[in-house]
Amino acid sequence: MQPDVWDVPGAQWRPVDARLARVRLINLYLVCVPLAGVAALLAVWWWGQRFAWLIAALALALLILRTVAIVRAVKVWAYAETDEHLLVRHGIWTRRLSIVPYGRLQYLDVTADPVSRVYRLATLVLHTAAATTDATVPGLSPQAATELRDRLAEVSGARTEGL
Amino acid sequence: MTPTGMRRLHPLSPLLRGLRSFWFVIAAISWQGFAQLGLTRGAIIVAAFGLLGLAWSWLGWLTTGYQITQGELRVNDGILTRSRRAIPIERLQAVDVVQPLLARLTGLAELRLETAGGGKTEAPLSYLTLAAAHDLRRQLLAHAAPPPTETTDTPQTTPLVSVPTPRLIAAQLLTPHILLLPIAVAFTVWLFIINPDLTLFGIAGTVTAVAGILFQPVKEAMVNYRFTARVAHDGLRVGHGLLERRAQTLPLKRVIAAGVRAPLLWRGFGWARASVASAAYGLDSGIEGFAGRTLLPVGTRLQARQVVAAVLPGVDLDAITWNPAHPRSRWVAPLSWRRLAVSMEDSVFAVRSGWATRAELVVDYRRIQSVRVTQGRWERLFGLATVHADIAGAPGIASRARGRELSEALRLARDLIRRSAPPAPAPLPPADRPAGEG
Repeated sequence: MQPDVWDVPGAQWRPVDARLARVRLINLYLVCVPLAGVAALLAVWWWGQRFAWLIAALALALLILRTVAIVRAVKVWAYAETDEHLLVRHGIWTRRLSIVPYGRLQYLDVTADPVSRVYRLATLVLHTAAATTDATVPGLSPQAATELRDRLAEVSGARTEGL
Repeated sequence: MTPTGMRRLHPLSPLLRGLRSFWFVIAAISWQGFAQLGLTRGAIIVAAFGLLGLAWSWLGWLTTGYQITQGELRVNDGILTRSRRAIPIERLQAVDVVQPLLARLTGLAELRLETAGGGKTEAPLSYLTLAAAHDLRRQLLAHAAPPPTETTDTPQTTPLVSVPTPRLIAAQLLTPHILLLPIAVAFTVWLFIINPDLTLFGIAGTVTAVAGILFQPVKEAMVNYRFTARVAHDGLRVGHGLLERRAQTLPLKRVIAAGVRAPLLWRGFGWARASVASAAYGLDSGIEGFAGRTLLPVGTRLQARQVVAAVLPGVDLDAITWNPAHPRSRWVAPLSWRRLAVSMEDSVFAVRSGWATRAELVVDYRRIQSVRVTQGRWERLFGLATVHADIAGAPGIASRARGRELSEALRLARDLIRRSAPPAPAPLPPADRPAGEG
């Protein structure tokens, strides 16, 4: 990744675990492949084979696009802890940077879906009093997630600024 | 009041509450139901359910009691499931005296309590006599907040703003709902002409539908009837309502943001609407303990400026030096790009937007929860980005600045974050933090 304007001075960006891409792809395929299969069968039944091929090709193209998007998105997803804030940046189609002051944290969630658990990855979600706050750090090892959560809880407790 | 015994609500309460259930039954049966049942049977069903409701509310009244002891308001109620609630008075965010129509006719009132963190209003104490309700409110507030030191409790006698009824009604007539109504009515009449075998209940259904369209503007006009705002020592005191007269105080220290909107149809008259986002008002809000509230249902530009200045002291909407969006933003927001602007004022972050409805929003820096910069694919083509200042509550206007150059957006974001931190970590009263945080 080339040095870019999105960088924040003093931020030590840490990437999320690259295996997150695998988790997300498995989750995608677990839903999409059976769905596509059923759709193709129904299409054959109603409209005949040629139409089914068309649908299958379309579905495959979408799936490939999505796969590329997931792989690239995981590569750019990064977070940084500074003295005062947690920074999260992600997104390739829409680029996003979130800055959350520690003092504004209301609570933190650590979650892991079944596939993530197989790969021993967890997601940390930061909540402030604003519903629009969008700060999610996926692809952390469970102990890294717990450590980060405890660290954040500690600094936010020391700095609570209320609403 | 005896310190040990619980006090009962007013003996007329079960009657008033029971009458409310009548409307529910009638609404539940609906026109279709009455058509199938016939009028007599319909009436019997309504009466039977109404009596049941009455008996139920009477039992409820028997089992309900309230009491103030040791800094707590205790409320016992429940018929099958008994509940004993103890509400710490210091946690109370607001206490409202409300008079719904029936209560107004009988000189009664209900007391609504708001606590921090709760998404919903606590079950109201309904009903008390108006005098008792005001008395209890005073007692609760006296416990909740230390009494003011120097200023008097009475608000200004002359309101800061008041909305004349003709203007309120004219403003509601100038909404898309009402302007489109003649077309809807003409369409319905035409339906009757081409299809003469519509029954009486079919007509009634149509009338109900038209009433549904009228509901929103009529409600707006009734809720904001004789709207006044007065400056008091602890905030802005707002009174309004035709059927249900409300008197509420908006505490200044809970104001998060204030906004002014001028819809296209009002602009010829120079009218605008002002609203505020504030913490700890659970009323009608989906978000925990926050809501947008009306500061001015319709008024002149000057009045809008005055109410905004009243809740965010030192802010003058017409004195803001706007920093307009980049000219390339015409590709991102073709209609509104000339209106898009942002300003970093001394105490507030100000954004301007909107083409049909012109909107301005000022956000108290210290209430910003987090800051985001986003850049969509289309924005990236023009090197532009959007800065979002995330706040609790819903002022009805997005607190974001569109059409900034990327480097400027990132600079703005850092500046916002820096200003959102209080200069000294002043300890806030516990009521300022939502419950369940720690």
